Amino acid sequence: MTCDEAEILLHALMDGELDAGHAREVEEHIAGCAACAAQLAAYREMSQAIAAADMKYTAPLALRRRIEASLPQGQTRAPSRRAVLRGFAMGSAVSAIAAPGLVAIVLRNDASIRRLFRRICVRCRPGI
Amino acid sequence: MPVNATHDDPERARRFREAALPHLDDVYTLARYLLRDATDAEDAVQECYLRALKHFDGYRGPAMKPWLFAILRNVCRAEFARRASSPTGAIEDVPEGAEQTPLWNEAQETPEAQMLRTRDAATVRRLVSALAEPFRETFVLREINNLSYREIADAVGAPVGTVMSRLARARAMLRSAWMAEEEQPR
Repeated sequence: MTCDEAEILLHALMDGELDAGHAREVEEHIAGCAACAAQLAAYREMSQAIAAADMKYTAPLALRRRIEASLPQGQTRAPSRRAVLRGFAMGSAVSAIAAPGLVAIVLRNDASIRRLFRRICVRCRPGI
Repeated sequence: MPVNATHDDPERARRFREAALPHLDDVYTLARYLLRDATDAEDAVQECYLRALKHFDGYRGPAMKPWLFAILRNVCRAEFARRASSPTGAIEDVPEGAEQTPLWNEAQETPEAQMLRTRDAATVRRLVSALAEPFRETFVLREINNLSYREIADAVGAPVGTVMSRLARARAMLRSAWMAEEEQPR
């Protein structure tokens, strides 16, 4: 293996992208080539420094909410007749069931209510 | 964007939300590095998610993140077209002479330990943002978004070999810029 080949392949080596056979070839070259060994060490250090620096951005909450709102479930719209009835039934159920444990069971068992609950919770707690 | 009846399906929206929203920070990160503008990045990400939802029925995997990145790239292309009069150029733009830039143009004898003093994130972000395309994109997908070479190839529509050589170039350019930074008096 030449140094020109190793210059490209050492990146694949450090990224764990080489199969065992090719990895061994590159490692053998590096073992006998101080220049390529130094390159590999330098790139590994740079990669670690980048991993240590916080390079990611966090999506702004407003953007997250805009995207949520653009999804069918997240849209604010006039509730359908069925949704109103369901809401009424749930309201009655919730007022009838005083024990929090039972409410939790209801919430756990109904995915749509759980989602609704989650949305409400998110709105109540800015920063989440 | 109007959403047709099929796209209004709450169950479909739920599946989309669970599959796509966990990657929002990664998509936004890529948008920030590609567009180098916070407002443009937000607009691009929102458009990306709208398009992704629209095409979600056609999504067959294998991985959601590279798929979202591929959509984001297309959105960014439109943004670059809009900026056509601006010298920042398009995503595939390679600055003149970039292909002639030697891989290693720093002194071999420079002590490696000195090269990599701890840098604050802002400095490293600036150096990465200064990389030319398409090297910046490949670098961000690998080092920041942690995609495999295959996933990067899928996201950018290039062979794995091209990804490898771009990544090698990107790291070489970053290393040179990093060393130049170190040599400047603080």
